[in-house]
Amino acid sequence: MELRPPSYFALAALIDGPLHGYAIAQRARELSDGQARLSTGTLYALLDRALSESLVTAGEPYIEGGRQRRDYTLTPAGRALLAEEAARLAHAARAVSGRLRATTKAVLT
Amino acid sequence: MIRERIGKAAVLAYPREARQARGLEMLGMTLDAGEQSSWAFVREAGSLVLGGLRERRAFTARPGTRRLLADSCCQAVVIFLTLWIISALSPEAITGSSGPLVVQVVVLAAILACALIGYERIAAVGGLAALIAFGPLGAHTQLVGLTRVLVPIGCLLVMVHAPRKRPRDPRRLLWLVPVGVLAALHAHADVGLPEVLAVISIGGLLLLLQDPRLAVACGLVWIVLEANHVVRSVPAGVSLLDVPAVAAGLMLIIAAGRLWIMRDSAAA
Repeated sequence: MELRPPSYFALAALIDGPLHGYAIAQRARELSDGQARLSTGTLYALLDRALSESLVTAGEPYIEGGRQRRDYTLTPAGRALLAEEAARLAHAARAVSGRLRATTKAVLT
Repeated sequence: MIRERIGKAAVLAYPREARQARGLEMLGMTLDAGEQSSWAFVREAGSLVLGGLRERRAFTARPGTRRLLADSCCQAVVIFLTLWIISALSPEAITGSSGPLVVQVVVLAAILACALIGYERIAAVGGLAALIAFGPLGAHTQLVGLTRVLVPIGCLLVMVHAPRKRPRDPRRLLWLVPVGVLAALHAHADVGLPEVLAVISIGGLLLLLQDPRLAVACGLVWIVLEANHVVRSVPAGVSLLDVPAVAAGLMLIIAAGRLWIMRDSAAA
């Protein structure tokens, strides 16, 4: 299964441990160098899908700073999917950069 | 405080189940993200509304096209009964000088009340009986007269076979209030059935992006109005471009297109 960049970075945000919604959005933004800007509507749609596919689990709600939060945790299935996607992207990047290097050398010589 | 109110209003875009499950959590994130700037808050609130409408659309599409069409038939029955009550309420009926008409209105109102609360199968059987008792069916009914009851009979049969599975709720009886007002206006010839249906159809068109059922239902009822119009106009000649025919065609084409798109997006 191929992950789109917002889902990829939202799941990747959970690699280091459970986070609540806003923290996931912030972490995903850091990881993607500002490219993945997850708004509330988008993030919760992604989390809903990830929950239904058992890629993440949701903890019990709690109050922090007067606001209700809930921590989400990456499941082993989510971790495996993320690893698979990272390997696929790395392979694609290697293939393209290899060809680019080869043709750049040929063009320069 | 104002932001919290706006956020709570934006969360209302989600279906009730989603609101109960994570409404406060989404509101908290919207307020967190909106602390950066007013523009950030507006963007987050907007994304909540769009996300809610997307989720409502997915929620509506989940049971499948057949269920949506069956729901449309059930809604068409409610609209059809509403219009029937409005048209049956004449000044004589209101003043009580027309006994049989009052009985008809009371029976129709009882059937509509059953349908509104959620006793749809009982309402559908009652509706079929009312069509036989008070409708245009009879020993000398001509084919052209029969066409105007075909759609209601079809919708009532669908309602008997596949009623909507929704919790029974007496609060839906509030629908009878506008029906009473419109009936009073109709009795004084201030408002006609096409105008009433046009208002409901506008509601159906506004809901179309997330839910095509009301639009389909209105299209079906426009067909009934068109059949009535044809029956009345047969001696004088019938034009294909009258208001009910155009409205029925447009509503059904638009709603069918929307259903098609929803079916495809649900499959994807």
